[in-house]
Amino acid sequence: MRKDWDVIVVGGGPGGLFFAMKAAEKGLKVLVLDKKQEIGSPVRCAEGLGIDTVNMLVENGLPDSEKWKGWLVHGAYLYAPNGDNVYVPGDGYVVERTMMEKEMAKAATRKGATVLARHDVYDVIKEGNKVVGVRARFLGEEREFYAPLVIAADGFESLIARKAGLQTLQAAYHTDSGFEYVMTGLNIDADAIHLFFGTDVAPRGYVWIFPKDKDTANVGIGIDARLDRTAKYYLDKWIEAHKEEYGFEDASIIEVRGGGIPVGGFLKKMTMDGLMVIGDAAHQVHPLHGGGMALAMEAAGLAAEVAAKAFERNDFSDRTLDEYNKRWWEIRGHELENALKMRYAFERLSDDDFNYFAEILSDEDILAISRGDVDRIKAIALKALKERPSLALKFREFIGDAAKRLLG
Amino acid sequence: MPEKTVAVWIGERCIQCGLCVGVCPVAAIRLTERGIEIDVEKCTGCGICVKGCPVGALQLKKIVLEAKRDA
Ligand SMILES: Cc1cc2nc3c(=O)[nH]c(=O)nc-3n(C[C@H](O)[C@H](O)[C@H](O)COP(=O)(O)OP(=O)(O)OC[C@H]3O[C@@H](n4cnc5c(N)ncnc54)[C@H](O)[C@@H]3O)c2cc1C
Ligand code: SF4
Ligand code: SF4
Repeated sequence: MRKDWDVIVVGGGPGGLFFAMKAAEKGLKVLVLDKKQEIGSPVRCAEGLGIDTVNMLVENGLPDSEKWKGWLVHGAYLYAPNGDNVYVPGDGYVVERTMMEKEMAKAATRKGATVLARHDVYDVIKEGNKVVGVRARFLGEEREFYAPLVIAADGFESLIARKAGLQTLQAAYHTDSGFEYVMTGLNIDADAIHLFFGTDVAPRGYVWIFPKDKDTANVGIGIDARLDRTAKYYLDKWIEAHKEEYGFEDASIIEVRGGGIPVGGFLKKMTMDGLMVIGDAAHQVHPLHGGGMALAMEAAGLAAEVAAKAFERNDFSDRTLDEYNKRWWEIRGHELENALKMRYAFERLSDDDFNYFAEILSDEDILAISRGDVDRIKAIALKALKERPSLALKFREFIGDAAKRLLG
Repeated sequence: MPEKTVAVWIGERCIQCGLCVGVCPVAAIRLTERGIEIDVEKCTGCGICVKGCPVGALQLKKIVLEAKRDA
């Protein structure tokens, strides 16, 4: 068997690039292939990233610079359909994602990895059941690359694992359709991000304003991907209704973005002989808020540890790589399943329910909900139930028995 | 000649976001440097990509399949 590289990573997004950084640190010879013309562009993201992840990247060799860290915000306002809001404090960045991915590619290269743009991987090479390489097109030239281990980090499209024989299809029911304008000349409170909820505003999702400086922001939406109307339709409608409030009337649109967001349908099995799947390709996204950069990097870190072990043992079988599945489910998987149950409850809420929750929820409640803290969610639901019995059915995943008792 | 309902791509509306690629149950779509390519042989006309597309750049259409010529 030809062995040109230790590991081939398909996809140079946050997941693939962080894997390359960590695996190269461990001495592995890593090649990252991305079909994009330019690493980091086009962006398919609202660029919100928690401060811990930003600091972690600096510790891992990215420069401590606002050029990629972008704009610091200190909290989030969540708005109910009637305009009432809850403020949740907490620092985070709206990063410059194109710059971030370029800095990650540079850091990975400094650590010994190689990144190649405009390499469109169209097939995997297998020997029996084992993945041993990939075929790519680079400016019309066909190229083959071989390695005992391939990482599918190809994002929402997730065709690489499917080519290899793993089922990673993004079910429409677990997909949100995202659309976004980068706008400037806005009149916004740029110290916080702003999230707007409501069944007419964004069915199953929310509209967001994520500031990039004092008058520039990502203004976007995520909705259930099965609806007849498009995400663009809902966002344009909302912008029209709020054009005076936020200065949309006189604003400029400097970029248009979109993308699919996997908000559930987590994979129990993300490995096969010679292959691991990470990031959006493995549906590793928070099902409530749709954030996936931090999770993709966390999975990448785990996968890099498992890859290093596989090289120590010179064994790339599914059995060895299975440690990645196990550890992911221990560390994050179950928590995300709980957050998914919360998504189911969230999907059933009426505008009245949203208004009610804006009244009763504290900032700590909201943080606990997004953490998937089941005990806290149960307590909130039981309390709410006394005033709004109709919520019993909507929170059925959390309060089955208790609710039945309460309702007699 | 056999007729078939398939997804067709409206290039000028597309923002190249890749959503349609990920949701197609039969992996009939690819996003390349030329834009979206739909394999009409594979496409079942299920319409999932059409609904998912954030900007309405896909439509279902009836097409006439050309008879395959032997090489
Ligand atoms: C509208 C929208 C808003 C979002 N907002 C946020 C947010 O605010 N915060 C957050 O944390 N997350 C957000 N997300 C989710 C976040 O963007 C993803 O979870 C994250 O990008 C996942 O990283 P990844 O490395 O797994 O995949 P990606 O970043 O998608 O990277 C995959 C890479 O693989 C490449 N690729 C794909 N196929 C091939 C192939 N065949 N050959 C070669 N290369 C290939 C692609 O070009 C791409 O560069 C948002 C998503 C959307 C759509
Ligand atoms: S209509 Fe269905 S089968 Fe055809 S390309 Fe779209 S998702 Fe795939
Ligand atoms: S989902 Fe629509 S906008 Fe996105 S790549 Fe497919 S056709 Fe283009």
